[in-house]
Amino acid sequence: MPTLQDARARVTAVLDEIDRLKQSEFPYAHTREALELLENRFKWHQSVLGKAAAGSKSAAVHNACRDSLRELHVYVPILGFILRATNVRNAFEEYGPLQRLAHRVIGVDAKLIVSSEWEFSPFMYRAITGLSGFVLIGLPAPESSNPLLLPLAGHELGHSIWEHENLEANYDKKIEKGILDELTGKRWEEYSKLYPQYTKEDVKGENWIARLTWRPAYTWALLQIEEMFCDFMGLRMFAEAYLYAFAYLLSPGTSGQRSLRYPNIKRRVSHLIYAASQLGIMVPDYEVAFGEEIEPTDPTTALLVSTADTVSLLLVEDLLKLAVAIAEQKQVPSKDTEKVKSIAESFREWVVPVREPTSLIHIVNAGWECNMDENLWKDVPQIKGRKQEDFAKNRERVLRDIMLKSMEISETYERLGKPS
Amino acid sequence: MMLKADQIARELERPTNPKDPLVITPQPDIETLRKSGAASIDIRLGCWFLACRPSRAGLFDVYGKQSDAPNEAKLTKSYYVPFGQGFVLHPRAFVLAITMEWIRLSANLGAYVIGRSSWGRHGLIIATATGVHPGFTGCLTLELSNVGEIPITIKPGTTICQIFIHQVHSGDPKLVDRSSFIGRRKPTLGMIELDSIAEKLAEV
Repeated sequence: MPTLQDARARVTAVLDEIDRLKQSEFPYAHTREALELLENRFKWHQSVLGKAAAGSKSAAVHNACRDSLRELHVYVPILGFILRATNVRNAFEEYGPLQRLAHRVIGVDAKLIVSSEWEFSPFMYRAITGLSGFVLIGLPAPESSNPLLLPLAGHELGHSIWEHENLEANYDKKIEKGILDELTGKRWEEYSKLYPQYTKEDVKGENWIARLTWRPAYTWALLQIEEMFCDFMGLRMFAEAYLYAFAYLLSPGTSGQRSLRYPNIKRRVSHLIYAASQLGIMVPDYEVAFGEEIEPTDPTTALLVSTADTVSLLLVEDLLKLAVAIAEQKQVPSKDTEKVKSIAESFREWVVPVREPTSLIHIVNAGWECNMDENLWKDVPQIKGRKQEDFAKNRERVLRDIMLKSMEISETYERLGKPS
Repeated sequence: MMLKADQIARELERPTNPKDPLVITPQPDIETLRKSGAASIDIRLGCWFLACRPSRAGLFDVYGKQSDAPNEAKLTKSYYVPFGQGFVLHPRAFVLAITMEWIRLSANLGAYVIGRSSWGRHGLIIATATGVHPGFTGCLTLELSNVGEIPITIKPGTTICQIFIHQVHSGDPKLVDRSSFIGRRKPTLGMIELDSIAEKLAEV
């Protein structure tokens, strides 16, 4: 089989593609920089494969072929992500303020790439070896120009903080103890029915096969608390706007199977409402907007996820305090209600963006305040347009444009040395 | 009556009618305006550009059915040029651009967008549709064309044109133009709508 020949061809093909991608219009330097790093990575593979003797069946050649193939699986989706970062459907005006926020919460070396993804959920690429220091945030393609959803990037930045500060280390022991206490305590009967061969000592001790039975609950609980932390971080960064953006994307739910890596949606929302009340954030009738999700019916999964839920629930208070403490420590600005009111009034009364340096939190909250106002621009003849059906479309477009222009104006002031 | 720069500065700082102000944001330097003897205000180039591109769409025919007309995405390509980067306008190229400033004119003000002679002498023509109606709010679309022989690089933030602001005497301040171009941060081709007279005269 011509494995080496195929491996060389695959790497050459990806390098050709990177060469084509380099001709794209890159709005920001970090995107090009990421591409160049990936190019160097594959050039290294090309060089290793080039040195291998044709026809050799040595383990070294086999490993080189396998390593390059594995990296293609990892990095080709990222190349697509980088390409989509150049698409003009994106709201590039968001980039500067978001980069500033990333610098504040992760560090001045953080390199941000904001792009879009063909999935209806914002996401962040995790721990990419070849792109150390980069934060890759993707928004759903049809919403990538919608500044009202920008607060969801706060959740994604939360994942970066979690990783960067190694916060998992604060919780893994607590989670393990919590899971074991639950399973060997009040859930022991249920557990014993599923795994009658193990004693409590087996479960708690060094019996690795017994440990494997509860390991999924541990993993899910850890993932759940990370998501809860990110929700709290998004909420602390963007206040009400986070709740509205969250509801825009997720309510009323799809009535499908719940994800095991998140608390179920009703519980996730109740945590948000609790955190909001602690932070003095008010959103009426929020909970009713969300429907139920289906819990797993398979007895093993049901037991383990319910155990994970119980354990993660115990950490809500702790995670909220942590998110608030980190935000304070990183000097993330808090919402100033008067400022938001004044910006919203300017949007509403005169249809103009901000006129002074303004932080992202105030712009997006003013935007949401206007978006929630049923009477917004009803009497502005230019927005009403000539035809009645134009109004809703014009209203939505003008609001988005004013918000994005506000971000650009703030960025202009920052560049001119008049920071918010 | 045309407003001198110091009067524009006064209107920006303390509008005659605070409920219906003149707004230019980012705001030009008020001190510079006050000291300027000019009757206009310099306006800067924004970050978005729109250029027509070769496409498989048919000819641009405003007399056909609107539903048959190719949409803007099919006829044009958008470019975003961030601050610090440049856009090259080649000889005979035509591109729509946008002002960096968002401008709101009160009901008693109108404006004209005029090129700057320094750019004009290098072949850069700024705008052809230059009138801005009272009540307008948004970034101004500029129609840039390089009629010279040398490619010209332009960067967002550069002063590219000027606006002359006039007082308008109006019978009804609530009567404003319902132009479809208001409230935009990006240039757009827009639609050409025929009035009933033109429609009738165009019939065979």
